[in-house]
Amino acid sequence: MNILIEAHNLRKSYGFVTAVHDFSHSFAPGRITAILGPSGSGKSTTLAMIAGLIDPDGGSISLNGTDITRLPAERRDFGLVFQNYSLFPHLSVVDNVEFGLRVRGIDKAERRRRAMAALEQVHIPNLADRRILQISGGEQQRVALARALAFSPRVLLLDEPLSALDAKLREGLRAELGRLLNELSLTAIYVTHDQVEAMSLGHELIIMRGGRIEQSGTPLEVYTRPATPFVATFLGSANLLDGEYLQIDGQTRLRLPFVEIPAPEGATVGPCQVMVRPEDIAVVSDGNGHLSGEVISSVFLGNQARLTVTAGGNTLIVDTSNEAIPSPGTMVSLQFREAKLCIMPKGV
Amino acid sequence: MPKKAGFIFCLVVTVALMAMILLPLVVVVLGSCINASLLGLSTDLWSGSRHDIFDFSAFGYIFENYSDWALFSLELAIACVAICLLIAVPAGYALARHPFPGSGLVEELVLMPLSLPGITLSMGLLATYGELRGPLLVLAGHLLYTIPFMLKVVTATLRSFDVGRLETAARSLGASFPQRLFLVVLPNLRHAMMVGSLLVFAVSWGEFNVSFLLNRGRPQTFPAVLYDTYTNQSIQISSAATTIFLAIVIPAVIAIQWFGGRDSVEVEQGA
Repeated sequence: MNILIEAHNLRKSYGFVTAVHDFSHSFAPGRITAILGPSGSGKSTTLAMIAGLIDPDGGSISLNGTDITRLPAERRDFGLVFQNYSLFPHLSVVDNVEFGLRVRGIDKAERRRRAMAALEQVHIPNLADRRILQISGGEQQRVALARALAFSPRVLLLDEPLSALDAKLREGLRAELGRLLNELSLTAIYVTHDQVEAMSLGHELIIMRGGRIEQSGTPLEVYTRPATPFVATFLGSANLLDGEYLQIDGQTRLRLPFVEIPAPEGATVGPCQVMVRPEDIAVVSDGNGHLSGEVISSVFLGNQARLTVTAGGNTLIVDTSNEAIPSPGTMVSLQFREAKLCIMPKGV
Repeated sequence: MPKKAGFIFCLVVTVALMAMILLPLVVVVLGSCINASLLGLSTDLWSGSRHDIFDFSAFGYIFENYSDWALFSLELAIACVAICLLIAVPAGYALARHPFPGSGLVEELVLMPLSLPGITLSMGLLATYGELRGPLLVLAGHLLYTIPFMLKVVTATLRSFDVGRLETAARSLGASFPQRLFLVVLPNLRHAMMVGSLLVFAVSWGEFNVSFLLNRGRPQTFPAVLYDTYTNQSIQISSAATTIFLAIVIPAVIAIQWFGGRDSVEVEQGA
């Protein structure tokens, strides 16, 4: 089922506040696109416009080339899963799952069969006859998912579906959700503020900030090559350093506070910002590194340790193995993986 | 030990309070069926033995003389329930679901008749719609007193489980407006409508001032039977009228408690 959704210049304002500015994107058919952003970034408003629950002020949405911008939500055949589940308290589990089939006039036996199949998919057929109030939060979210899938939606939209659950449950359900969505190869849009969820579930990532798309791409691309300092720091930990491109003997070189290296192709002379991830800085034996610095703090995290090091006027976060953790006050030599340095324009 | 003493103290206070509330009712009920001559009271009804303890002839007297009054009151109460369901439920839905600037004020204004003395309300209605004086105007007066109850119960319930959220979910599942109304909104309001109907019924059944002032001639509403018998008849007859009055209203009040309790439990868990 390769359904292509395209959004063109979607726009929505509330009074003087613009929630979404010109959102344009072609969502990968049959894959999961995660929209990630802090609260207030416009991600849920964007999803609600795609779902048809909010009318955009401008722009359009198309489904396989057909304009559906003004099609009401109830006629889009999009499955929706909400953060707060929104199950019907007056109906049993199986009646909730049957709801989408019931309003489509499907006969009793057939809809019972399909509802049970959907409950099997989320591994809770045993709860079919329970009341909604008698099942746990995790089970309620499974019911909500089964309800959204039972009527064979064209697209599945998920709005922070796991954020009301506790950490342990969330992790388990996340893995299961990923498996199920990949199995179904549904076109899915998954809104979240949790970067781990977005990176582990999304085949594609859209990072939003202040109502705009900050960057989109595969999780690996966005993580390793963030376009802006915001993306770099929002998606995991990042060290941001000031750098400068210099013209030396007819060669463009990149100068950092601690090292000077040949600049990549197409660099123009002037200041820039350089991002390096904590895991791309190694603690090496004395004198072999790019620079040396003093350990300010070291935090043991189980599988690794996180150091804070001051060096050359900068404070750096460094992840190191848990084998020999330097204690605060010791001097360490640090080496950067040059290939992992990510250069971005200054002042974005 | 002090804990036990505290418990006994609370028990005594509760029992005393209950006795204060219930004893007059017990006296009235007993007064309606105990042979008045045994108590040294005179009665013009009694035709049995002077030594029988129970005497139900007062009830016969009430049925004979006032059954059309009781019927009028019942009809009024049922009409109030029906009209409140038809008017206050959609209005409550509109106010809770689509608030507009000033909708809070509208809700407050609807409640205002409850704070007005019956005589003020009646004079207002008479001054404005004097030519309608009679059963129709009595019905209008009752509606002013009963619509606020239905409206309040409905809006409070709709707000407690965030009906908008459920409607959005239903829309996403493909439900049209009528389907959302009949499959989601009304089923979740059934307890509220039940409690509201019982409240409306009880209020209408017990309303005296407005009914008395707005009606023209006979039959009057049933509370007027109490007035009539207490002022003109023996204590046994008026007690019988009161007992009949209570026999209708007490089950309604118990049902309100029962449904109300169930309702709040469901809403709480559903939130």
